[in-house]
Amino acid sequence: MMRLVVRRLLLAIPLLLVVSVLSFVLTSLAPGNAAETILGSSATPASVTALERQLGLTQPLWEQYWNWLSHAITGNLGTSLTTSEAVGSTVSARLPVTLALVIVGTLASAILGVALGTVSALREGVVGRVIDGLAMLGFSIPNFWLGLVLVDLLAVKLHWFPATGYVDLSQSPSGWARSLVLPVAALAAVGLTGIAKQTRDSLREVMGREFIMALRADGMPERRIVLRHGLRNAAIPVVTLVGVFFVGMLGGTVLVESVFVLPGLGSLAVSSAQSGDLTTLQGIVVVFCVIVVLVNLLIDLAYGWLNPKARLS
Amino acid sequence: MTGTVAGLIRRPAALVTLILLALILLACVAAPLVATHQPNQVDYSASLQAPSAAHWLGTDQLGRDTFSRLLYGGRVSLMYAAVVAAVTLVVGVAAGLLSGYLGGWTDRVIMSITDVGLAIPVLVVVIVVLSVFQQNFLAVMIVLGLLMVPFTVRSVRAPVLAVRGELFVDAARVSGLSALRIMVRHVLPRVAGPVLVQATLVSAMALQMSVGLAYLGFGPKPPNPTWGSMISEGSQVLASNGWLLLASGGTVALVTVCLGFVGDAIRDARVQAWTGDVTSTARRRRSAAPNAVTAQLPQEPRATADADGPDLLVAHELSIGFGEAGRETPTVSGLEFAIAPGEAVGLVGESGCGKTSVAKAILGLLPDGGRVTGGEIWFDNQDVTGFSARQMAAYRGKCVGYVGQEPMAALDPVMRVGTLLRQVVRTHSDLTRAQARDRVIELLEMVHIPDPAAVARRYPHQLSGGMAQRVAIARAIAAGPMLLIADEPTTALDVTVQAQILALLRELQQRLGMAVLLVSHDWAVVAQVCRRAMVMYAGQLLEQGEVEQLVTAPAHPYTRALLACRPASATEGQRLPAIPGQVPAPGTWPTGCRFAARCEHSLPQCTAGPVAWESLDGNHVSRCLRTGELAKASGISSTIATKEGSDV
Repeated sequence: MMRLVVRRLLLAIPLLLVVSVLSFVLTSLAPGNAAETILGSSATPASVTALERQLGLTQPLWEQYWNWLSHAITGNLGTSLTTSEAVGSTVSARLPVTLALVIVGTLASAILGVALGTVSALREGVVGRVIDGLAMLGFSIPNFWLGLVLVDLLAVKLHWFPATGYVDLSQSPSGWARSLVLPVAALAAVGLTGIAKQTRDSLREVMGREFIMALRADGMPERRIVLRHGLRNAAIPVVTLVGVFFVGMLGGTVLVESVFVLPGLGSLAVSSAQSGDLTTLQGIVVVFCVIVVLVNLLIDLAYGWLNPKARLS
Repeated sequence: MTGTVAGLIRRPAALVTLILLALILLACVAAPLVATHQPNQVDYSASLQAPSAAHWLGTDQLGRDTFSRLLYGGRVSLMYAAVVAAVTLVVGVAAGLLSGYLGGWTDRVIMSITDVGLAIPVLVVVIVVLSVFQQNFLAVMIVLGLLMVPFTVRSVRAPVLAVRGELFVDAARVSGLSALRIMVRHVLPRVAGPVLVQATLVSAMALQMSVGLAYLGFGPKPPNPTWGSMISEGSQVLASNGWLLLASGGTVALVTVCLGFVGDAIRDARVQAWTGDVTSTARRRRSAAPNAVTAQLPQEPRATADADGPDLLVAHELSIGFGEAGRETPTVSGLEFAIAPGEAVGLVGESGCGKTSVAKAILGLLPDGGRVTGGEIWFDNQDVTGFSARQMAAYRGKCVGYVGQEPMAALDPVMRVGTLLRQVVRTHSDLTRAQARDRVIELLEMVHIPDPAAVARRYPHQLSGGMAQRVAIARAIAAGPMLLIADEPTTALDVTVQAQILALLRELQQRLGMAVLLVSHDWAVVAQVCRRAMVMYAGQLLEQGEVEQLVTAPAHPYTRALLACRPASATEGQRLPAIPGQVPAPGTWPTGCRFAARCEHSLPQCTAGPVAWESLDGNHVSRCLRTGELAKASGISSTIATKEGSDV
């Protein structure tokens, strides 16, 4: 198990390098450069050149990258081109919002999805079809549109939840929870229904296998067979899917945070893109990748825990 | 492929969604012809109207016609989605084919890149690309397509791997076709189904993402409509008019639902294409065969080895059927037999005779759709067929143990062997954890597993086949059952291991005084463990008696034919004998003798009516009109009883 963790962490290093190089090269391709963005369109060519030298933009690309990387490792992600704040501090101030969204979203979709999927796997007919229909809807309705509709119905019309904004957990736990309900619902709908469907298909398949028959022949109570043997085997593909949906939700924050005006990384990415703040964007991409790497590690651990074949080979 | 298309067309729901999808696409493409208004025609007097005859889906804040704007917006949104889907599919399918078919380094490199790709939050990277390429949306959509490639690679690679292992691909390779040609001409058509499913999925995701980006303002500049920008406009006027948001978001959802439906239908159609023939012929057979077979069964004598003392298990008039309740296809009809305590009995016959149905019925574990349609199964003077779920659970394992054909498949792959055994022990006793652990070690010792403590800690995939079957036997006897049912327990094993497992079964049967019902097609297997045997054919018993009587002086022509087919009784240099014809399928049984069609001794009267049992000596009985006559002329002899074990 330890070896799996170490191997995964070692694999993460090239992944992060590749992503950072890609985003670095990509941003250097941008028409107009950082100096022009900072100084605005009224700048003289001389002042632009001076700032370029100051920012190190006259150095070769690989040297610029090395400078950026050696700083990034220490947590210094550079300075925003538009607000001249440190990207690192902006990102870390906004990180908790995004993390709260995706973690609560992932947990909600995994727990509810598995529960729903299990019920529909064991009940023939109507329940299964209802879940099929819900899964189709969850997959089809754009998350930001769902968010807009939820805001209109549950916030504007019924006043059950705040329409927009974020309350810090340390300020008011209940306010925090209330401010998360709608955005999490919008974000997690796809994952929840997708996981429910996968759980159902997977559990059905497992319950038809020979070893389930053998357990029945042992005289094992059916409840125990489903919970201890069926679900545990069925969970193996589900765990992988949870990882996939986590990454999807992380991307989805870009839209959902904009709809609910939440001060997270997703909405920061949108505003940075609109203002051409490439340094901040780069920082966000790197932070997102680190999160994904860590979550994938957790998923791998869960996978190994569930599947002895993966753990022992 | 053609099967997939045909299957798709046969489904009304799929056909409707397909037509709907085509109509939406056509309407958007032909927007200038279909639209009722100019998309950007402002009319302040008609601001924010509800649907009407003039404006089918109402208007927006500037009085522009929503229906017309949706059509024009669809051209942009759908075109972008198409670009994304095309890029993803072309690159993804190619990479998936190469990765799955070539394997080795190609596979490793492609899968590494895929793993990296899967870890990238797509939308965030797309936003970076957007801020770099400013308004070049085509470039952005191509990048979006590339970012979605990993999903496609994975879902194409898996079926390619499966197809690669098939014989026709080997044949193509051996015949000297180039790898490229095999991939394109032979492998690609076989994975067309998963690729089509993936295409619908990718198109749906691409549409959602391009709409999402346009919603955020990354798209053609206003006033030109896209579905995303219309959702954005709709959300701004939500308080005064919800129609715009509903129409724009609803259209996106509708197109996605259609794509999803088509994808599901393709998947289902493929599943049916694989199994379709089987079910349709089965249905035909069922309708052709009148269900009167069970009605005219002959009276059967009670045939037991030991008449003294009560029987442990009695099957009385046992009939088993599969299918819809009330219209089952019978697989077993009017079976009558008994097993005494401690007696080892073999149940012999070709595949498809209903042997396994009998074994499963005794355990109350007939697969879905199967049920006991008549008669009773008495175990220790209780009717098993009337058991409640709770009684059944207490009876299984505790009264009857079961050993199946595939030892590995019978073990939960994610549970340690010892944990599984302990669970069985504790289900049927009130031993403590520690006591149960000792009992597990004791059980593993009983089945002669060396170093039982170490084996108990292993997972099933760490066991050999023979070891797994020993574990399965330990599990079956864990609760001390009075009857052990072993269904082809050695068929999946190596020849050398087979003999050991049979010896173990025999040893345990004698040591524990446990009755054994051994189901097998192999006389050598039965002869090693059982004293008595029953010959089954087409859901009916044809002959019963001592194994020695049966193999040395078989009375029924079917038993003789079975024995003659044994490799051990074949003459060197001659073709291995086989019984001509096939076992009639369930539900197509003839009246009278069911073996008559394949029997070399059959007479017209054999099929005239039900055949009754004919007694030979002792408990030896045969269901054949010519029993006496053939017994006299009997020349068949077999060495099996005397040479037992040596020819296994």
